[in-house]
Amino acid sequence: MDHINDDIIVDRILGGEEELYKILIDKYKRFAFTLAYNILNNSEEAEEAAQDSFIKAFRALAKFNRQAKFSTWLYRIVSNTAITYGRRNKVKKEDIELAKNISTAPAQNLEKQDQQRFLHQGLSRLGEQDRLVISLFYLKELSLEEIAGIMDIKASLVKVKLHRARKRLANQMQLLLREEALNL
Amino acid sequence: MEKFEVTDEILFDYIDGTLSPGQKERVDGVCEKDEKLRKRLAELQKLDLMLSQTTGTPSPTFTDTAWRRLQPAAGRTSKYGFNSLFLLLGVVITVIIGSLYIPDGVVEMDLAWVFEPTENYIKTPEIDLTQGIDLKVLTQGMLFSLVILALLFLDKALLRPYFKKRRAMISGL
Repeated sequence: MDHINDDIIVDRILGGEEELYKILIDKYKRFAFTLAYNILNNSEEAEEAAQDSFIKAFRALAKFNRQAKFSTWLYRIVSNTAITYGRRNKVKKEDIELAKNISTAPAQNLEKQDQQRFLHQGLSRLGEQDRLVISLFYLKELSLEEIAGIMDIKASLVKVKLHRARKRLANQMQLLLREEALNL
Repeated sequence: MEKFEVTDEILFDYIDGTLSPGQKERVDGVCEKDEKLRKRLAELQKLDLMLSQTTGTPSPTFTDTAWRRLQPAAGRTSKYGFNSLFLLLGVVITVIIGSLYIPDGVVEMDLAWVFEPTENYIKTPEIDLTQGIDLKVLTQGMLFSLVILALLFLDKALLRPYFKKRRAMISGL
């Protein structure tokens, strides 16, 4: 149903009602930001990359061929934009403002915030493709086929890549915990 | 009985809920006996939970900022902009002019000046190039193609966007 609504909004935007694009921005900004954040591990860059993605999508709206959902098409743009940003800024920056931007639980829940910090440190140690497949899968919005479409790989490979990426992440998390314990 | 090896991949499938009930039961059975595996499953489940809870919150001004940045791009999205209208207008004018200047539906083609032999050229037998070509059919065919083109542009530039917009308005957002 949402997919149909998106198509109607896109039609109306193309028909001249450009203000309606704000509806699409509002609807997908959280997912776009989360995806960009998981790839870039920096909230400011993620915000900029997500906004750039919306601008790129708007400019290319007439070329959107409706074979995929608008959201799938948008996430593909977000992924590519965030990856390009990441490559441009190769020096990894630790995001010390993580707790401010990642809302996983009540703000006072320090344990969860710590968990998220570890998680993002772990994610930052993974390769681009690993981070991307995990981020797309945990948006909980996309089917494996849609993820395959975004990543430009075969659908049968998504699960394999996802399992490998999660395994690597689990190992990195263990390493991080060990390092943390040694620093205490 | 065949040994059932529980790998990390199977544990992820277990967590994702993509195992069959039979396989799930077997994993439960193995985990019950194997403490190390039980611990690994708990670790992976925790990781899965953490990943599921990761939802970023963009700044409250995200939409407005993006929209502000978009403004120079706005006005260039329409699939059926002025270019299509100009094209349509051009085709219509061509058809009108064509119809006015060809009253009998036949183009007068005087090709004599092209093929007029001069003294310097070797004389060749006179050939009427227009012989065998029905110019009336050719002209009418060209006009017909132009009309079809004009109708196609009319459909693409005006009718389709108009009806799409109407359908969208009727369906609501």
